[in-house]
Amino acid sequence: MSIRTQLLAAFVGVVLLALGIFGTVAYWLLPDAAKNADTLLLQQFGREIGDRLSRPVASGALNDAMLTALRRRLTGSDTIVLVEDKQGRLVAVSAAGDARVKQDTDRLLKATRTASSRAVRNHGVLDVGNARYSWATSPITGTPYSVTVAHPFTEEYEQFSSTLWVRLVATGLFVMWVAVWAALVIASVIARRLNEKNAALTYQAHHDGLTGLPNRTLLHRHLQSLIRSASQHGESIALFVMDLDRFKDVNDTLGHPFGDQLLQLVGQRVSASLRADDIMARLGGDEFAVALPATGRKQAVTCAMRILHALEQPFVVEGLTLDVKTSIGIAVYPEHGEAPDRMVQHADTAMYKAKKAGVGYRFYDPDEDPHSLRRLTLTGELRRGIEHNQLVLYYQPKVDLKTHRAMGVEALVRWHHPQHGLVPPDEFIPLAERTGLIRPLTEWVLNEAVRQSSVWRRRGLYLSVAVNLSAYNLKHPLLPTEIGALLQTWDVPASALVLELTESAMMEDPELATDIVRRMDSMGLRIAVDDFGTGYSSLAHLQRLSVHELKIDKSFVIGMDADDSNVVIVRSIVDLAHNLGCRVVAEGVENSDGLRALEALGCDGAQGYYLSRPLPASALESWLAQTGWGRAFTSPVRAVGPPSP
Amino acid sequence: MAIRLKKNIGTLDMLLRIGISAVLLYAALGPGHVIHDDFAAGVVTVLATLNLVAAVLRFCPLYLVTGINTCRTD
Repeated sequence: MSIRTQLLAAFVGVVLLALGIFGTVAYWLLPDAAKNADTLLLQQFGREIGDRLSRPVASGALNDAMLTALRRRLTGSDTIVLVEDKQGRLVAVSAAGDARVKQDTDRLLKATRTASSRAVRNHGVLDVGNARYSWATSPITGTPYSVTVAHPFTEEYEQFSSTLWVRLVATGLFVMWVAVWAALVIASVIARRLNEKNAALTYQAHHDGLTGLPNRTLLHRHLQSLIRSASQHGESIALFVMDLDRFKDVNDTLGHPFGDQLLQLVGQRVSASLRADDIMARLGGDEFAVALPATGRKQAVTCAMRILHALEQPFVVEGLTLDVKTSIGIAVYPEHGEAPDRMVQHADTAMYKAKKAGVGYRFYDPDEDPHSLRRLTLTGELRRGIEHNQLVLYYQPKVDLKTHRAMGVEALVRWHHPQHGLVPPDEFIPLAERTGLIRPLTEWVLNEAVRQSSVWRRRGLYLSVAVNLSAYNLKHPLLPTEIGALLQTWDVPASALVLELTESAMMEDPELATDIVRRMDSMGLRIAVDDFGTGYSSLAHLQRLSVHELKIDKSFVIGMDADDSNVVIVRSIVDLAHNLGCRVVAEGVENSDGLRALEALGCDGAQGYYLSRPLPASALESWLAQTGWGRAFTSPVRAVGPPSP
Repeated sequence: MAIRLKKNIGTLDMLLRIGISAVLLYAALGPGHVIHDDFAAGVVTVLATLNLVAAVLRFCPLYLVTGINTCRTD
């Protein structure tokens, strides 16, 4: 029930209650009022008769003639007049009209006497036989006599009370009419005021104060109803989540008032570029969302392009021209979630992907979602996998192109998942990096690699083992110490372990990386730069860091057949590496032509499927034995130091 | 407050009002003097007439103020 209805009901209720009380009291008072009026009249009448009789009675001349005259006057009337002396003796009586009244007179006389003697009352109502009389006694002044007048209730009484009654009802009706009017009007006015206040509060609770756009709560509500109708009509809905690139910089450098103005302008401009049914909301900060009803992938792209286009023109805030770029993440119902929460979350994920990729918009892709269910489960299972030794190291040989011998192996981790089988490293390593599992994972890999190296060395296989380190490992200052302890435990020389780092890992926090790499270098560990040519390396850094090996990224090596420019790049890297005093190893060798070309370019080493896929330790041993590459593995070659004594 | 005479009394409402007004007017003014008191008859006549006028115009000012509408064709 709305407030208005409640108020109306309350007011009308109060009015009806008041009327009810009024009616009851009136009903209760009415007979008394009628009786009192009747008795007063009778008293008056008695006094009148008394006055008339007082003189003759005082002179003792109250005689039959006077009574006869009185009787005559009262003939045809039901009124009875009695004259008594102080002792209650009946002195005179008017003869009543008929026999019934005559009979009543005697009874009445008895009754009034009893009533008068018992109480001080000199008037009242008496039931005599079938009739009901009202009576009043008045003394006759100057004499010991009194006059009693009795009159039966008749039409006059009825008429009096019915007149009163009808007027009361009419007044009641009128009062009720007016009261209900007033109640309804007051209730409506109050209700309207309350509703206005309420609406203002609701608006405040559901809208963003700065831009006036709906907020997250209202967006959820809108989405819910959109989803409900879309599910009935089999339509799809698109949800955009967008934020402004580097908005924080605007706030930090120009101040919050400035940023606020920019947000307002962005809100206005984006709203203006939307269709009538689209709902734009501000989720908070510089994050906006747009819900697009009845929109599939194709229309979503059009709309996203329109928004991006709308923001192309620079904004002018307080005379300053600002370029605003945005990234839009798109989630489509029902593909990407069937609940508002999920859709917002997924569009958000897509938005971060779009931002990272530097593209204007991006659809949600469950495979990229770090929070997708498979990934979440995998995280927990990876922890158990590390503890329960579900991980295995595979080794891919690196061969020396000068000596045509195996010079070492690169250790690559594989995960034998009890349900999913072999999980590829590019699926679980990013996961490990994000969840902090990268440390135990790296510890396990290092330990296993050093252990295997020690096993091989004891059997006379002097192969260097390379382990890949992630950028996260370089933030761990105790890593060199831990590696040192491992080498000691398994009695393996530091020179037998190669640590492979990608360019981007080294450049993420160059100072920290430099420190750790220096310490590892001073321990005698060998450092290789992985995927060289794909990231941004500072050559000055490379020089300072005393890197031992550059590994040419496989994209250049594979591309050498097709594109001569790749050959140029490979040659340049080879020259650069040699000039820096590093060895250079090419990755991704897939055929004999490639191998020959690399040899011709002066490359020191090669690695790739043409030579061998990554193999388990035992399979690697057989590979070494069966192919010519393993010829020399029993004696130390220049890449691998001799066994320590 | 601008009052537009927009219909807000539905058909059923109108018929009820005409019926009630007719009964009241008959009681107040009709032969037999059901209400034989002049004052009461006057009050009833005024109220019944107002009600009848509202029914014929199909517009009730009170409904306008309170926002009630018994007209189905809104």
